[in-house]
Order: sequence, then structure tokens, then C-alpha cells
Amino acid sequence: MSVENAPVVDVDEAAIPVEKKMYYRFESNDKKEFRVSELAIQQSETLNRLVEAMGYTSEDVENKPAIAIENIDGKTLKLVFQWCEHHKGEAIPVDDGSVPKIVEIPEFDAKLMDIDNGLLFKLIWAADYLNIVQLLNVSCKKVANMAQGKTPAQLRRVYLLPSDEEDEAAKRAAQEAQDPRAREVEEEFEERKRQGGNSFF
Amino acid sequence: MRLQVSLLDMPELPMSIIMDYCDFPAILNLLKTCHSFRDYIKTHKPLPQITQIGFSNQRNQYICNVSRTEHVFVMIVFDIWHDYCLHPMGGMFKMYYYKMANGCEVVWERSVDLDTKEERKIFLENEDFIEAFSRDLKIILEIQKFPIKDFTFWGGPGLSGGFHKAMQSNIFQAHRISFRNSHQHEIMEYLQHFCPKTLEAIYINCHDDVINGVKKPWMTISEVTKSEQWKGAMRVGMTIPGPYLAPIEDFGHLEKGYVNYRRIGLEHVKVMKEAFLSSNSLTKSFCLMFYECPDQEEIKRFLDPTLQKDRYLYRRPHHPCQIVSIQFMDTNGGYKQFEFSVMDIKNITEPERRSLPPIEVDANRILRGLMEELEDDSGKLEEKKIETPPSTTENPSCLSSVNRFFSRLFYGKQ
Repeated sequence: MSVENAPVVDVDEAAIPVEKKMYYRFESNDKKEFRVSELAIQQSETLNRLVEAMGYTSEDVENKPAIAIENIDGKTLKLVFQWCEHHKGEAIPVDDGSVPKIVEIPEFDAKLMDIDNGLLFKLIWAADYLNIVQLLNVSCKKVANMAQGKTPAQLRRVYLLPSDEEDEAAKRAAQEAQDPRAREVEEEFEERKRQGGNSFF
Repeated sequence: MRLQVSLLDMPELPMSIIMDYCDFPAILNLLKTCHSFRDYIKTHKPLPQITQIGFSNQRNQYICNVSRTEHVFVMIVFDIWHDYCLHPMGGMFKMYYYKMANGCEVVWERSVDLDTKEERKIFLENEDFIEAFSRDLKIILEIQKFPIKDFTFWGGPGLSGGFHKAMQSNIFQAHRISFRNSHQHEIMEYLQHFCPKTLEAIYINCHDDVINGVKKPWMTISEVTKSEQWKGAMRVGMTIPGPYLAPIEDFGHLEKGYVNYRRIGLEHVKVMKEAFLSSNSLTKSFCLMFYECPDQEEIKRFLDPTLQKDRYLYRRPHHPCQIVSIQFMDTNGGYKQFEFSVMDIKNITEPERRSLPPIEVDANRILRGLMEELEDDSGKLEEKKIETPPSTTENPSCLSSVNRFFSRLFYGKQ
């Protein structure tokens, strides 16, 4: 088991109460371990509730096994915790309809998300799974920005979308996989049509 | 760089946020990628509702400032009042499809004012500009919720083909259609695609002196008025002067309307007066504009034999408290008008009330009408208040019958 040093924690002693200076240990699905400050964890509603429910003391954190996050790999989790540490203490946006939804991507976030599209998609999944509202907003905004000024063909490449023909073929294949008889029936129908039959039955 | 997973695999919430942040051209292009994406958009409809859509291929300074001759211009207005922060460039979106030597250039433009403009261009190689317009329009209409509030055609030859292709055999639901600088055959081509049940208003206007390079004709809409769409519409307006727009009877059913005839006669006024007297509507209004009226004196004599007024008031025979007003106005703007409207008897002056002409029907007709109404509303008798008309100039036999009827009904007097 390796320990990742990626989240470098900058703790403001004056601003943070003594009892908040606890660091939790998390483990990704590929067995990479991270130490994350309690304040940074508050950016994730899911993790925050989890640690509250566990009620760990400082000793528990050190002595008990790391909390496993089974759906997220180490590479993605490292980005998530880097983001949380950078934005720790910031207010979590609430979508109550009155708050403007304009999202500007900060410089730190832009650099953090300067990654390949596959990893960016995983980051979005992680932000959604861990319920990190602002990370979800900025990462989705980044994906949306990628569509600007692209032709349909370019969009297919960027987002790995199928063409209409590929889409239809995939649907047919899925149907056939569900019902192997369907293909035979269709072939039989086509054969009868070729022979000039008006009715299938 | 290719992804391991597709955008379509994204969970519901992130996908919805991504679509919120995508602008209209991006979504339009995403819709062209595959069936699955179109299905997603149709189900979730992340685009704001379109309230107004219009298109044209004319060069017209009032609509758009287009320098190139062969083009299609599309204007879309989104209903974004509740989500304005997502669309800081405003709710209006303009698209231009330009014919190029080896394809088509599409320009999307969004602007709040002349200084703040956001513009995107894309070149489609070997694409016909009408085809590109037609395909985009089809996609836009496919993902919309209907009915759309307002649909506008600015006319122009050859454009209806693109619209037909986009519409195919679909019937469009809109509350209001406006035609500007369009000929009757163009109007008919578009109108057939609209659902008569949802259509509330039709406006036909002509602002330019020249339509499609031909001097403005004195139009007819006699075919349009035979359509189901026309018969179903309750509001109609047209500023196209014509010697023979359509028979005046075709306008009688309208709740609200204005029409501009080149020339009118006594028959026009007679027909509209009868339509207003026989209607039950309290909000009916109609403006009959005209340039020439050889029968003007005859009309005035018909409306008021004393020739002393420009405003003529009549009681509705079956609703004596409702007054039909016909007002003559000379606007000094080259045209004159008769304005027809309905008002309550309380809203006219005492001298006007005294000078009301006698009701032109017998008492039996009034009683029959009242009895029918009372039978319908028998449960609401307590709330119903019906005023007796003043008895200064009316036919005495008629009014005495009405008064006796009311007395028996409301006060139990014999």
C-alpha cells in the first residue's frame, strides 16, 4: 500500500479550531492512500456525512484502516483531493434558483483540469459521486466549452459519440443480443418479400 | 484524443449541467451527431423554450443587415426570463446561411446591442445553404415543446421549399402566425402546416413598397379566408391594402381584427354592423380601414340619418345593456377608418343614452334569448343582475314586455 503525498495541506492555525485539524485517510480502488484535512472534506457532502457518521477520534484515524472509496481510482481521487484542499473553507454553492449560474473557471482549476478527456470524464463522475458541487460545476463547464465552434464530425471525435449509422447498428446488435430469434425472423421476412409475398403470415 | 467513454455514458446530473452550459450552436451541432443524442435532448429538452421563430431570405434593413444576396436568415427568441443569468447575451439568436461557391457558411449571432456581439462562424463544404437551413430548422422544431407562441415569415421566393422539407407531413402548433411581405400563394403554402385548433391569430402585413423585386400588388386573400386556420383564428390583422382582399363576411366571426381595404362601400359597414349586433362577445373589436369610399355620405346616412355625429351607438337586440359603437375617423394619414367596438351602457354619456335608436327587434326575440340564458344559468339567478334599459326613445311595446318580465322574475311582482 503506497501513501500519496499529493494533497499538501496548508493549515491556517489561527482560522481553524483545534478540533478541526484532523486528517482522514482514504483509499482508492487501486489501493492508493490519501490524507485529507477535515476542512477539505467538507467540500464533499458525501464524505463529510460519512466521517461524521463514523465519529472517528484522532487515534481512530491513525489506528483504523483507511476509508475505502471503491468506485474511484487513485489518479482521479488525487485530483479530487487536490481540488478540495485548494478550495477548503469556501462556501458551497446552493442552487436555490436565485444564485446566478454563471461559472468562471479559476486558474487553479483550469490547470488541474488540463488533462486528457478520459480523466476529465472520470473527474466529473467522482465529483458527482462524492457530491462536490463546485467541482462538478467547473468540470462540466470545461466539457461544455469543448463543444464550442466544433462541427458535428469534430464533436463525435471529442465526445466519442457514434454516427447515426453506428448508433443504429449498435441498437440492432443490442436487440439481437436480447432476442436471437429476431434476426432470423427479419431474414425470413426479407426473403419472403423478395419472393413477392404480400403477407408475412 | 479519444475518450474511453462517451459523453452519452455520463450520469444524469452532470449531463444536465453540461447541456445547461452548452450554447445553442453547440447543442444544434450535438443534435446532428447521432440518434442517441437526439433522443436524450428530446427527453430532457435542455434548451429553453422558443417563444418566437421567424425566417426570411429577403434583404431587409428592418430585419437584418445582410450584404450578400443569397442567404436565409433565421431569428429565434428564447423564453429565458427565468434563467437570464445563463444567457447574458439576451434571448434573441440570429442565424445566417450564406450561399458560397463551394458550400455554405453558417453564422450564429447573439447580441444585446451593437457593441456587445457574440458571433460564431462555420463553413460547411459542398452543402447547399437551403438544405443546411432546412436541416437545422427540422432539428430545432423536433426538440421544441408546442405550441410556440409566435411564428413569423418574412417571405421570399424559394424559402417555402426549405420549410416543407423541415416540416415534412408534421402539423405545427402555434398561437400566432405573422406573414410579412408574402403573397397569397406563399401564405397558403405555410398555413397548411399549422394546426387550426391552436392558432389564435393571423397577421398579414406589408411594409415595403417592393416585394421580391416586384412593386407591391393590391393583394387578395380570398383563398386564405377559406382555410380552416382562418376560420379558427379569433384575431386577425392585416395592413395590406387591396381592392378585393376577401369578402367582408369573412371577417365577421373575428373577436379582434383590423383590415385595410383599398375601397369600401355601404355593404362593408352593413355586414360588420350586423356581425357586432348579433354577437354575444363583450370584447369584440374591429377596425375597418380604407383609402376610398365613394359611398361615404350614404354610409353616414345609414348610420345616422341626422348626419350630426361621427360616433354611432346601437343597443344589441338580445342584450339591451350592451352597446355597439361605430366610430368614423379620418386619420389624415391617407386612410380613414370605421372602428367597431362593444361597451356597457354604463360607459356612455347620458345624452348618448337618450339618443340611442330604438331596438330593432320584437319583444318575443328578447324574451326568448333571456329565457334561454336563464335556463342555462338557473343555478345562478341570485347573482344575476340585469339592468332595464331606459325608456325614453325605445319601442314602448317591446320595453314594457321586458320590464314586466324582469319584475316577475326578480321581484315577484305581477
